[in-house]
Amino acid sequence: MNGKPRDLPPSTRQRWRARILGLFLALATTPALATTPADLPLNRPLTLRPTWRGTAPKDGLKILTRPGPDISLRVEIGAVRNPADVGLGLRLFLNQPKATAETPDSAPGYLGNVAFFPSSPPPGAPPLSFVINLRTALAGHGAGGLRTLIQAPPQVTIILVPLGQAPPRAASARVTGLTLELQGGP
Amino acid sequence: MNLEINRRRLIQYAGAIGGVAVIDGLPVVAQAATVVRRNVTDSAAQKDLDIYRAAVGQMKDKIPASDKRNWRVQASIHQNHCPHGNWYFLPWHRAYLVAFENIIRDVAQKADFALPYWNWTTGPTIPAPFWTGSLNDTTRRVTASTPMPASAVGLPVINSQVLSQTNYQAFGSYMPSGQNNLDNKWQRAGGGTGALEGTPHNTVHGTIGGNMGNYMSPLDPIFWLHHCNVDRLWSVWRSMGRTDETNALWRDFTFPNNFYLPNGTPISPIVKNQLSTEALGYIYDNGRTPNLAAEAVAALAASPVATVPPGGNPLDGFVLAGSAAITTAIGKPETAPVKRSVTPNLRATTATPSPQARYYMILEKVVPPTDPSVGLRLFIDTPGADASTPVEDKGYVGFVAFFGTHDAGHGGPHTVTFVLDVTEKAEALNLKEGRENAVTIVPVALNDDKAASKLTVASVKIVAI
Repeated sequence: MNGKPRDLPPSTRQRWRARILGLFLALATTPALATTPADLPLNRPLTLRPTWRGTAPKDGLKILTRPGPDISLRVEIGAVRNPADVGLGLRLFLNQPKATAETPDSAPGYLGNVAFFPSSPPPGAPPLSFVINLRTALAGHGAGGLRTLIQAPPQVTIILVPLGQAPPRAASARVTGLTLELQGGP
Repeated sequence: MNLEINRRRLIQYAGAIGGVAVIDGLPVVAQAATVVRRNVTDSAAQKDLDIYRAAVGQMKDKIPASDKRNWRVQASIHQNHCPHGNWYFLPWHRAYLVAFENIIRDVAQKADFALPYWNWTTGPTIPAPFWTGSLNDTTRRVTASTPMPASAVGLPVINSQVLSQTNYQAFGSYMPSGQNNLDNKWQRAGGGTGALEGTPHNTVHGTIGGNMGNYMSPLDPIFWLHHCNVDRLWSVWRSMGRTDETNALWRDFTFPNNFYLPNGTPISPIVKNQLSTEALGYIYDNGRTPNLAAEAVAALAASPVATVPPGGNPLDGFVLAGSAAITTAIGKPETAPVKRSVTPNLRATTATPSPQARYYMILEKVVPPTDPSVGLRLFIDTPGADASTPVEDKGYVGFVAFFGTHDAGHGGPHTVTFVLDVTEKAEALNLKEGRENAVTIVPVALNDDKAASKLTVASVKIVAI
């Protein structure tokens, strides 16, 4: 029967094989999307899809390509496990699911880095919450770069990194929330 | 006891008693006798650094724990009261610094003492004096040669991610979730960490580690200079025309009995009284930087033939180089040679800037494009720079934008002069009197609504002040 792959011409079969192989490789190398709460081990990227807090703008992040309100990304951190009491920070990337601790700050989608203070929040301390203004964080991309970056639905890759000369000991943090919020009204 | 007193009356009173006012119960040096907080690496700060070293030694070793001036007692204030991750972060720490500075004055018996600041952007390692004697802290997890990460304290980050925030909360951290009154429980409630606190502030604490990594961080003598720099950046942000939070839940909030006078009397600062450093009796050595540079621009524009007598008024500055008008547009980087003596007969070229000079790039009388959502990326001696040149490039000096420069209600766009502090790059780029440099301006669209409009810069100058 003509519709069976084995009956296709050799060049078509090769294209099918290449597509299937490509899909397999993409699945194998792209970390799975996590949901909150999620544990964040030291130096191990975690990719999450943020949810909108309040009313989401109709065009989502595309409003950043026009004059208008800012959008903030809020990262909420619950428990922090930091037995060596090392300084800890987070590096954040938008739509760069392959970002690692070594990905340079100049890479597309880099949102910035934030740090914990105190390094080991005492028991009973309120959860840490970091807020990043996406309009200023992504301003350096210009409109063209930004348009490319936000074509896909937003995913944020977070990497917990040690600060200073701290040895890479076991440490982890729990991401309890990741939200986007429109600032200053539509 | 209500220590909140009408400030105007107190300052009037201060004039009568010789320049000392009281705000929220704390005596402060009145405006006429404002002290200057200086960069700790500046030779002019040496006197204050010596006073600080001696006073810290006394507070650690001589003053007993029963005395509120004791070193550990002062650090405990932070552990017991400090707000972090909410909108009281900046005013609380400003009040803490003022009260502490007052205690140092008392311990050292030096009424004009001013805390120096550690500018980690220009000098990212802990200053050398803080590795010996009373200023050392053996719990640190860095060495004298470990820099604070450029990704958190570097000039591009400070300019484009911190000072660029136009909203107070995005800059100085967020209102506690659910706050609806002035109850003291909100002082340490979580709200959200903004750009200044979350990136440079927290990173410096975490990178140094040891005592600096936790709420007893004021045990490390570098804490106070670190927070002075955070406080300075708030002052710089305000001087850029930014507006502090106007919400009464912020402005009217009191920090009850959090701090002490040297005699042990508790004081209760109110946020709205922490906003002006001048009113609190101090300024930063470059706290007037934007105005200072603007004054220099105005002086040069008004009188190009005679501005700087040798050794004269430092406000006038030195024009190192300048250019003629530049017209450019989005997607069309324009490089202009900035040459010596573009301003005829400028006597400044006969002298040289002092080693402490600060360097500015001044874009004069820029006619903004029709669409204000355009930014300018600025480079020195990088003629091939374009929109894709990374900010890590040696020649990249900063970014300016036109937000807020169009006032539709008052006749449309007007010209704007940008002043960009490029001191950090002065040595690497060999900025000095008499040398020619090239400035490349790369206009970039910040959104899709860009019009194909051009913009014109009347001139570019590099000035040392």
